[in-house]
Formats: sequence, structure tokens, C-alpha cells
Amino acid sequence: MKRSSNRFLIMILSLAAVIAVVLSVMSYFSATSAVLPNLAGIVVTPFRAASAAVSETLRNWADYFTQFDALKEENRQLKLQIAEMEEEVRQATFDREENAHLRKVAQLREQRRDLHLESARVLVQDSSNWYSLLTINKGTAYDIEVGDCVVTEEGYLLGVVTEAGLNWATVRTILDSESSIGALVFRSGSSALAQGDFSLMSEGRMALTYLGAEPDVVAGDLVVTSGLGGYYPSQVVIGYVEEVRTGDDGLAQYAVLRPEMTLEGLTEIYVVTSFDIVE
Amino acid sequence: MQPKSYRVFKWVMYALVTLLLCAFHAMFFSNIRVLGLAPFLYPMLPAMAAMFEGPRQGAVFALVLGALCDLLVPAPFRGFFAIIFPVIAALSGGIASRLQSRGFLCALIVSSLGLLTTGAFRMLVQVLAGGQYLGLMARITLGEALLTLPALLIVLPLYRAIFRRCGADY
Repeated sequence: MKRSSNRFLIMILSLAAVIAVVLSVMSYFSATSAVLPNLAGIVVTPFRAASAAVSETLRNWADYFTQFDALKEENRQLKLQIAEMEEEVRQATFDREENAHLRKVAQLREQRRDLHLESARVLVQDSSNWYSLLTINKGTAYDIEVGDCVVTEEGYLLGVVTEAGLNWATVRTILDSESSIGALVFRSGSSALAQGDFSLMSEGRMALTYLGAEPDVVAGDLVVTSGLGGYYPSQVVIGYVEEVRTGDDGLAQYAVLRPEMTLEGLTEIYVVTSFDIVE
Repeated sequence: MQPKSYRVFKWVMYALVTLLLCAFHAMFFSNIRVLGLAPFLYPMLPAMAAMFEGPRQGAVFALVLGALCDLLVPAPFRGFFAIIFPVIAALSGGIASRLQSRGFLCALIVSSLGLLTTGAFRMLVQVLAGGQYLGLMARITLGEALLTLPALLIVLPLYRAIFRRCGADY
């Protein structure tokens, strides 16, 4: 009896290994999403949408009672910020007209920035402590593909689509330890690499690496996407440099980056399905 | 009901309760953050089923649950949960049938075992893939387990109710 029980368990574990290998191979050879994960995603998407709606309603309800004072203060701050920004917009309008005129004089091509955005809702924020992933409610049916860049409502970089099913897609946020995006320090124009870091992920921070031999980066610097290689649009805001640190080897320096996007309360996002930028 | 119908009914009930707990996890647990950590309920489920139903039936349940989790829950590789959940079920079933009789203490032991085994396997995969921060990963594994264990107060009564209602003989 005991021997047959052991044999049965060995059989189950062998079957588990076979399933694991089949699933891994299927997902490795698939360009978008393997058949089974795609089917599973299609089936659970309506349930995930319902669960996300319930979760959002409860959170909003709780926020109504707990966030009132904070929202009032934030509203006051935003009014001040709007007044400052209106002044900047007036100056920017003047600058833009002058820039257009000068480009015409210098016979440069007109600047253009066409981003095709597809809005989507967040269904699941991965709850494990090992990754930073989101599942959204749109997929290949809406021209969303693996490698598409994802931004927040405010236009801040959020992540990249890593898996796309028919009516769902998985987004790896920039905080995830496997994420890596070409970046540019806006002030100095130095190029670098914005990478997710496992040790910084739980703090909501990421690392800015490959800063060069003499890094021209200081705390407070704005970091945007470089757009090099044409994979992602350029000039999308990633975040601000918080501090510059020396790596474990004592030689190379890296910067701790505070992304502008926030995952807390995130419900609506935009996928950049295609872009055409002339600078 | 006939014994076979009973068995089908019992496993349908286990499946429904498991689905309910997964929905509960997605709706509430995924929003909880304590010191930057979130609870992770899934490894507790095959451990509970195996504690009540024994290593053999528990392992089959765990294999199905693991395969489904692999399709829907992020993991270091697809097939991760299909491998680790039957192992958890085999260990949990063994503990419940040989070392510690079914009850709260046993549930606490097998749940901890499930959570820590999953964390340890995840660490192993990360280390083999060249991952650093072993200390940090160990802290996360431990924190995740401590944060998830209170959910036993919800999970255990549900599984125990099915076990008592449907009996262990089928």
C-alpha cells in the first residue's frame, strides 16, 4: 500500500515536471502569448474586471472617509501650481512660435510628435513581492503588442507590454527588476540606462546606470526616455534623480531614480501602439 | 448520494472554495501592503487540501491548481507552481497523516511549510539565474509568510467545513 502510494506521488510529480516543461516551451516559442495562457486570460478577464471594479469601489469608499483633509490640501497646492504653469505656458507659446520661425529660417524639418495611444484599465496589480506587473483589459484585438510602451494618464512612463493575449495584456512596470530602458538626463543630455533593481523595487525606486566615467548627474535631475534605437518614444518622463551612489565595486556610480508614475490607485493607463517623432 | 457522487461533490466544493479564496486574494489581499510587502495566499491552498485529503488526492488537486496558477499568476518560469504545489501537497499530506493530527497547529505548520517552500524555490531559481540580494530575498520570503499566515483564520474553517460535510472516506 505504502509502495503504491509512493509510486502514485512520483507519478504526479513527474506529470508536474512534464506540465512545467510544456508550459515553459510553449511560452518560450510564442511571440505574443502561448495558446493556453491566452485562453486562460480570455476566460478570466471578465472575472478580473468584476473583481477590479469591486476593489476600486471599496477603495474609493474608504478614501472618501480617510483622504478628505489630504485632498483639500492637495487641491490648494494644485491651484498654486496651475497659476505657475499658466505663466510658463504663456512663455512656452511665445517660445514655440519663435522656434517654428527659426526652424523655417534655418530650413529644418518641422518638429512632430505623433503618439497613437490606446487607453486600457488595470485589472490586476501583481500582488507578489517579487515582480511589479500589471494585467490590463485590452490586448491584440486593440493592436497592443509585446514591446509597446505604456504611460500613465499624466504621460509618465509606466512600463512595457511583455505579454499580449486577445483581450488582455501584461505590463512589466519600470520598477520590476527585469525592466531596462534607454534614458537621458534632461539637463546634461547624458545618456544612461534606467533599470529596475530588486533591492529598490519595494521602495518604489529604480537605478540609473551606465553613467559613464565622469557622470554629470545630480539629485533633482529630470530623466526622460532617450528613444535611441526607436523602440520607445523619446522624451517621455521617467522620473527624478534622488541621489547618486557608488556601486558595490567601489568604482562605478549609479543614481537612485524616483519614478514619477505611481502604482497606488492606478486604474487607467495608455499603451503607445505606434509613434512617429521628428526632433 | 452514492460514494462516487459524494467524491465529485466534495472536489467541486474544494474547487469552488479555492476559486472564492483566489477572488478574495485578488480583491483584498493584493491591496494590502505592510512594510512594502503583500501577502501571497496561493501556496497555502494546496497545503490545506492535502492536510485534509492526504498526500495522494492533495497532490492531484495541487497539480491542477499549480497548472492554473502558472497560466495566470506571475512566476520565475511557466510551470513553477505546477512543480512546487504537488511537492507542498505531498509534504503537507505526509505531516498531517504521520506527524501531527489535523487541526489548527497542523494547518499552521503545513501553511508555513508551503509558503516557505515556495519562497525558497523562488530564491533558488533567482540565484541560479544570477540574482543577487540573497538576504533580501530571504527577508521577503519570511515577511510574506508572516503576513499571509493570519489568512489561515479564513482558509482553515472553509476547507474544514467541506472536509466535515463530505467526510474523509470518499
